[in-house]
Formats: sequence, structure tokens, C-alpha cells
Amino acid sequence: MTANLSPSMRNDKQQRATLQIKDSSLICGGDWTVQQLAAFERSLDQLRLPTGPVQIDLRAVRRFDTGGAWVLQRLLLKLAQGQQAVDISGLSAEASGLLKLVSETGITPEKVPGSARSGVLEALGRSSLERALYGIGLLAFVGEMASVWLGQLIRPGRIRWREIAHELGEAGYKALGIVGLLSFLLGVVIAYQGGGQLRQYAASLFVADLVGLSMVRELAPLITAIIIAGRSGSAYTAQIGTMQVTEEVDALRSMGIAPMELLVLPKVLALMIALPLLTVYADIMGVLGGMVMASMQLDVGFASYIDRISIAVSVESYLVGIGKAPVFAAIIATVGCYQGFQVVGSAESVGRHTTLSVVQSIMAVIVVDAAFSVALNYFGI
Amino acid sequence: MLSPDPVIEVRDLTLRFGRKVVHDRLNLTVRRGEILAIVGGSGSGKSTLLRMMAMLQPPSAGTVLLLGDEVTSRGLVQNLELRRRLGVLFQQGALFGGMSVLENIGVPLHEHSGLSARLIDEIGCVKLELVGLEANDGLLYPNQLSGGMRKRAALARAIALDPELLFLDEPTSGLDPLSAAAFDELILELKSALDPTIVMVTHDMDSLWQLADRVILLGETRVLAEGTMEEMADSRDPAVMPFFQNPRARAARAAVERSA
Repeated sequence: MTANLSPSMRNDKQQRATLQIKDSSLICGGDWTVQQLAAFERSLDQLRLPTGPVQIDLRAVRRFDTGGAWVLQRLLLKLAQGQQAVDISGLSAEASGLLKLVSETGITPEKVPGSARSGVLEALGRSSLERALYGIGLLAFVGEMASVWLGQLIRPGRIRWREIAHELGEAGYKALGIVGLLSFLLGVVIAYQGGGQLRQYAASLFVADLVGLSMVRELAPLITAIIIAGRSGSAYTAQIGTMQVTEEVDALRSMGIAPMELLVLPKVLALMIALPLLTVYADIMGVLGGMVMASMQLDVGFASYIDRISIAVSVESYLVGIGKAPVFAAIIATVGCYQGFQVVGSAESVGRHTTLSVVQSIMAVIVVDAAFSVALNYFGI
Repeated sequence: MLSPDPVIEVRDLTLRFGRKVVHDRLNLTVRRGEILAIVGGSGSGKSTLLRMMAMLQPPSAGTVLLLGDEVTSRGLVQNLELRRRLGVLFQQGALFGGMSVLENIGVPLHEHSGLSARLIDEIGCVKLELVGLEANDGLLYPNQLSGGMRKRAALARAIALDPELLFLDEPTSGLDPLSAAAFDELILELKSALDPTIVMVTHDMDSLWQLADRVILLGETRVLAEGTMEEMADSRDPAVMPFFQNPRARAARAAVERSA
């Protein structure tokens, strides 16, 4: 029986490894290196080895590395299982040293640890436990934050004004550009989309109601929170996470500085101040965007637009919009910081938790916004 | 074992960062089969020299001939080809945190061999045993490993493709004396088994005595001295003496001579 497993031999610098079975001998040739073994390796397990004594002829092997030595060792192990006598010929001194090295490691195919694949039930259990622990951890984090905060309220000397000011600059002032631009464009889009419909009913002026109410009450707080979750929430997670990996958080602890006091509270407080302010800014820019569009597309003058806005948008709606902002801010900063502390070990973990932080805070913001709508509707505000 | 056949030739190598000159027309040769150690004070550019030889950093001027090929004038594909023949052990291990040790070792194999996942895992286990870890350690993640194990795992990854040339960046730094000595031993064992040419950067006097066939002392942007460890230790050159004539260096030598 002849099994030619790799008939193609390339005549370049490297040669494919070959293994042929002729009667009771295995004839090996080419480069038995990891780069070239792929030629026959996959069919190795289906290989029908001759029974009885076997000769292995390695004279045609040109190169040999640990990969090749392992494949040979694997064959030898298989033959030893069938208690077949083996005669190896043509093994160079170097190659036999490698073979000895590999066989001395005592590795057999059975010893290779299989990656533990878990069943559906186990995976379900694990992920539910993980989520439950995550929820409990978040609750504990909020509790710890609250207690440290209360401590600071009793002794205001411990409040870190400098850090708060710094975070205000980072999360608030530096976000003005993007928040302004996006809410302006949002105002433009609403006016543009709604304006066409309103004009059909000769109600062009009501574009001010449309833009004013939707922006001030709902969209400005929401879009600002989403931008800030992507911009600052992710930054919080990445910063604390990286500090966690490089043991900077532990260094703070060892110096008697509570990470909660230095890293978390200033961020939460600063964001709770910054987000309402940014929301006011977004309100203005959004209404401005609608105004520009209204005058261009619908011939509604600036003066009549502003007049109409002051009738359409009640102080109540304005306050509802701004009132949601600190809640959103607390959610974004808390989730961002908590995810940062969840980072363990590696750069990959920082990336994963940063993603989680943004996804979770945006989701939580939208859910809470919906809850606000329902509750406010219930109370008739 | 030593042949004059050069594996790396560095010619008139210059490296500048802004106005700071790290290396100025530096020349050195690495011979096939030797263990060459690069030593020098902090900031003398040992690691950057290693990085340039390992094609991880381009020089400002000058040439590096690696395994007979000029590195700087080659195309990307050719360089990838050449990189397969090198292994680098980074100072912190640089194991990928999101993968188990076995998967880490499998990365170069998956990338360059086309072998089945099963065989790659088996070869990975062989490498683990070769560096003194157990097959079951392959399932651990890098952050679950001790410092010594991490270095060993990183070494297993560096030798995954049986490199002709192995670069070690401070192989024993951060290890306790016992692990450091065991790691030196391991490097010697691998050297005799796989016979790579080894270029290493180290401060560890014990490692230098144990491992280095030849030592190169860097300083003042150039090679201050080169020779065997004995020659360095006996040198009367005022530039060399501070490095090899201090209590720690003498203690390391005494230890070697006692055991000899």
C-alpha cells in the first residue's frame, strides 16, 4: 500500500514536508518544520499505519525543528501503543537531539489540556451569577460613594475643589464645541423635517413649538447625556481602569488616600454640575438651529419665532429638561467609575470595560428618561 | 560552537531622539551561536540597540545586517519573512492579556504555520514543558501567573517558531535570586537544545557570568569595550572598571569561581 500524502514538491528554498507509506516503512522527506508541516499534518490522524514492525526513514528530511520532532514523536507514541517495533534510520545528530528533547518533555496528545467548553446550562448559570454579582457590586459601590459623600458634607474641608474644577473643565468646558454643534444640527433637522408638514396646514409658525418643546423637554438633555457618556464616561473608565492595571489605585490606597474621594466623587460632582449647564447650552443651540432653518425654509422671522417660543415652552418644561440632567450625570459618572474599578490585569480588560461603561450608561440614561416621562405624565406635569 | 560567521552586523549605527544622541556611529558584530550580552548604565541605549537589531525601531542612520540581509532597505513582506526567524522576550513578558498562555504561544504558530489547532496546542505544550512549565499551566491567563512563570511563558512564545536568533530584554529583571538562577539555567538548556544565537540586555552580574560568551559595554553613545566576562572584569580601563569593579560584580565573580 502506498499513501503519498503530499505529491507536490516545490523546488524553492523551502520544501514541503512529506510522509509516504511504502509497505512497512514510513518515508519522510522535505522540511519538517512548523512552516512546512501543514502539507500532511491534517491527514495524520486518518493515516493507516502498517501493522507489525515499522521502519522510519528520515534520510530525505532536510530541516527539522521542534514542530517536526513533535510530529515524529506523536507517530512513535502511536506505534508504541500498538507495541510495534520501530527502526529509525537517517536521523541526524541534531535531529535526534531534538527528538530526545521533545520526548523528555513527556507530553502526549492526551496531556494537552482541552479548553474547557461549558454546556448551555453552565454558561447560563455563570452569566446570571456574573450579572447578579455585578448588580450587587454596583449597589455596594453606590452605597460606599454615598457614605464617603456624607462624610465630606460633615467635614467640607475634605471636598476636593481642585479636582472638581479640573473635571468641570474636562467634562464641561471642553465638551461645549461638540454639544453645541450637535444640538444646533438637531434643531435644524427637526425644523427641516417638521416644517414641510406644518407648511401644508399653513401652520409654519408652529415650528417654534415643535423645535422648542422637543428640544428643551426631551432631546437636549438626552443628546447631551449621550454625548457625555461617550466622551466622559468612557474616559473615566479608561483612566481608572488603566490606573488599576498599573497599580496606581493601590498606590493611592497605600498612601492613605481613598480612591473614592480622589477619583470618583470629584468626577460625579463635577459631572452633576456640568451636565445641567451643558443642557441649557444645548437648549439654546437647538432652538437657534430651528430658528435659522425656520427663517430659511419657512420664512418665519427671528422675532416671531422667539415670540412663539416664549409662549410654547413653559418654564415647567424647561425645568423638567434641566432637572433630568443631574440624574443622568450621576448615572454616567457612577457607571463609568464603577466599570473602571472592575478592570483586572490587562489592556484588553480596559477596552472591554470601557465599551461596557458606554453601552450601559447610555442604556440606563434612556431607560431613566422613559421612566421620567411616565412619572411626569402621571403627575400631570 | 563559535563560528566567525556573523548573524548580525551593525555598521555606523546612529540614533537620535530630537537633539539627544543615543548612539553615534556604533559598530558591532554578533557571531552565529554565541550568547552576546549588552551591558551599560541606565540610559546608555541598551534596550534601543536591542530594539533596532530586532527590527522594532528604525535607526536614524547606518545599517543593520540581520542574518545576512540589510534590514533598512527591505520591503514589508521580506521583513515579515525575516521576523519569523527572530524571537523576542520582552522585559515585561508582553503576553496578550486576553488569551491563555497556550493561546499566546499559539499566536505565531497560527499566523505562520497553517497547522491544525490541535497540533498547535500540542506543540505549545511541548514548548511549555521546555521552559519548565506544565501543560496544565497553559490554561492560565497572564494575570494569574507569578513573575517567574510569566517570563517562562513569554519565553515559550518567543521560541514558538524555533528562532535562529533570540533577543532577551532583561531576562532576569524582577525575579527573585532563586528564580533568576533557574532562568539562567533554562536559557543555557534551551541554548544547547535549540542552538539559537542569543543577544541579551542585562544588569544581572550573575547572569553575565553564567551565560555570556561575549560582553559589550555601551556608554557615551558608543561601544566602550567588548570581550569575555573575564577580560571585562580584569580590565584596567577607567571607563570599564566602575561597571565590573564594584562589590556586587565582585561577589558575582567570586560565586562563579567558587562553583567552578
